[in-house]
Amino acid sequence: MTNRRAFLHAAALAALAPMLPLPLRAEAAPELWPRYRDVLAIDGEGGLDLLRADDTDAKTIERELAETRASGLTATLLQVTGVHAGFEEAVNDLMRCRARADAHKDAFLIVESADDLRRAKRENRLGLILRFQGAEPIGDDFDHVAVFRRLGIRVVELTHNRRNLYGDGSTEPGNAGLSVLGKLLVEQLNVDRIVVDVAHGSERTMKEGIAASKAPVLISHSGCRALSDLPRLADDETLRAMAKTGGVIGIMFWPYLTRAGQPMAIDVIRHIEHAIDVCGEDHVGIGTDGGIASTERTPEFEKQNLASMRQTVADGIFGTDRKAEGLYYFVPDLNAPNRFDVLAAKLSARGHSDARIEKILGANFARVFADVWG
Amino acid sequence: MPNRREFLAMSTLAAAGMAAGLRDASAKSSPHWKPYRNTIAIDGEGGFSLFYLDKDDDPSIPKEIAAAHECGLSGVFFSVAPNGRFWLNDAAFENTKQFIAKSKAKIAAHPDTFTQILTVDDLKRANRERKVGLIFRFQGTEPLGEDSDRIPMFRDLGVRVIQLTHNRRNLVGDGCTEPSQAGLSHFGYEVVERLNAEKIVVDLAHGASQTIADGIKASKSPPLISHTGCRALSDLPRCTSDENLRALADKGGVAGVIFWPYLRTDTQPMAIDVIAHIEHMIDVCGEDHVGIGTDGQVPPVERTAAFEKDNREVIKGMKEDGIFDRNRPDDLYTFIPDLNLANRFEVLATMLSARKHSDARIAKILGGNFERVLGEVWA
Repeated sequence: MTNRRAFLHAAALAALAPMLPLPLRAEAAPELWPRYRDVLAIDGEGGLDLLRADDTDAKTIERELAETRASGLTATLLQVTGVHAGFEEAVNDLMRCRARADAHKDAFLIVESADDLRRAKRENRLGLILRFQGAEPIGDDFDHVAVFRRLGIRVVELTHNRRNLYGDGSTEPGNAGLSVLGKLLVEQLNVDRIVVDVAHGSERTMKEGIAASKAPVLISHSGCRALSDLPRLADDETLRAMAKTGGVIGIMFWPYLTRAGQPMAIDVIRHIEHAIDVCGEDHVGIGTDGGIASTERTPEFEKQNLASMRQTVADGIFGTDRKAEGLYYFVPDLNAPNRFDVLAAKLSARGHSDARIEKILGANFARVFADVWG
Repeated sequence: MPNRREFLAMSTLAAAGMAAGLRDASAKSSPHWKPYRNTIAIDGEGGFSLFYLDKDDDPSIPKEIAAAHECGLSGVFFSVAPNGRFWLNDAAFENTKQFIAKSKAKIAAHPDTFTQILTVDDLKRANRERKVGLIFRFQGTEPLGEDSDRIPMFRDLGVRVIQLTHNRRNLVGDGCTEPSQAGLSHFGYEVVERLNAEKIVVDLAHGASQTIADGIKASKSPPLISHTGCRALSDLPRCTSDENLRALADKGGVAGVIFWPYLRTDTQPMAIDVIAHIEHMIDVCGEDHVGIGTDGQVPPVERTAAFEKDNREVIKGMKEDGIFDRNRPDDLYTFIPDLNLANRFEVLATMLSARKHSDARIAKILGGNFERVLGEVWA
């Protein structure tokens, strides 16, 4: 998949990178991928404060809108409510999110069909694919599934990190699989043509969710356990089973990608390449789980980030013996709105074909959406 | 309060209660066990239909009251929240608080018959005054929602025993009908710790095997498996393995033998099956860790033709729901036909006595063991 020279070259650069002074790295304009503006680019989980946060000021909104345009993304999966929200809270959040998107019609389009995806691309708007992380808003009233479909929800992740009534999240000690209710929920999501996402699930919940679904399943933002053995990631067996459904794994940009140190673009690429080796190129995508705008690394941000990382590391989220210092919830050498373009160029430099890069950037996700949404 | 099927069964039983006629057993001819009146007998799960009635002049009430006086029970674990079939929303929380208030009002309306048990002294007083003491409990942690701070609040409202799960999965653990057989979640461990701290008894009945094992391990005070059977005699998920029974005994806990069809895998269990489970538990755990949790109404079921017809439908439904195996007959009962009497504990005591169990041991099984655990935890 990559020729040996390209690999060595990239590895040498990655090894050098930490030794270069920061300003120098920032100044070097990254290479871009000539075909980027022609393809569908879809982020398996991205966000914008202006759509969700309570306290976004005018300056932030302006910056986010500008960076959204600069991203060249066709669409992103968008978590529309809190991970433990019940039905009412979820409906409120979802409708507020839609209203905020409507307030910037030139920038956003709510994507409810495969046609909408093409339209978003054509009209240079960011398509928003509304989703839940954790099926808690559905509760045990499966009529809610059709209600949420009407309100625009197109992807439902079964669990977040903790246990819910359907399955276990990856941080739970019990590694439970699907409950009876969880199996019924997967059936109902299939019937109502909402995509089943098993990201965040415990190993058994991922496997059983994949086994239960009659439609292609996503692992929208995850990584390969074979490269970094953490419960939040998917093992090869799970990846193969997911691929058999016709689904896609999105590689995330979080510190899960490595067991030590901050992951960089080369680590994202390693996970993409491993997933291709295991699943084939039709089943790999990108799900950053970060902001669509770049992060402004002000001293204040660095301070807050470190405090947050210390807590996350202390909770054991990224594995034991991890150092919080120097960790970020984004990939530092892809901390720009056009990160998909930059990553595409890096993949191209490693000898991946344009056709393959197009699939990874978004065509694979788009295929699943067309298959499931009908 | 029961789930839908159980509620159907229960209302059928309540309706049947108005008619006359017993088939398999008769109170008049039932034998006596001398020490019974001075024994604190405790049913690990029971109830009275009158708590679910809205009207205070329902014609079934006098019979219920008569049965309460006849049963000789000093304590009955009484479920004051729906079992395992509702979502953790605020309405469910409010309903639970309302049902607790309603139950207290019913007790107050029959002060010569019922009393609420908050301490072990209350149990002794109930026995002395010949009243049925109701021990408020939940079958499932759903009323807690995601908030373990509700545990002290429910203790203030009088709840003294909390079962972690009913048959299904909840946020704490898996019930026995779940295919996953998961153990406790992080939240589950937090709940057990808080129940210990707030002196509420942890009950593991209805749990998946792993939930039972994790719960026993996690609890610092003696847990209960208030109504169950022995898997060694009837290998069903609703019953408890010898390994879990031993671990329970090591923690000082008690398992209560249930009067449901779980005691056998084929035909209807009778008193001899209850005894077989009691005796197996004694063999495995020792006599200090065995009790009785009938999981039925205290008044006997009046087995009219209408009752029999409805009961078959209810059992068929339970078979469809996978509660009982499909190969089992439709004429199963959620009571023990030859112990279908208000004073079933006393009758069972005579049977145990006839099998040469000592009076001291029988007193422990009838309620002494439960009393010990309640005393240790509530102190």
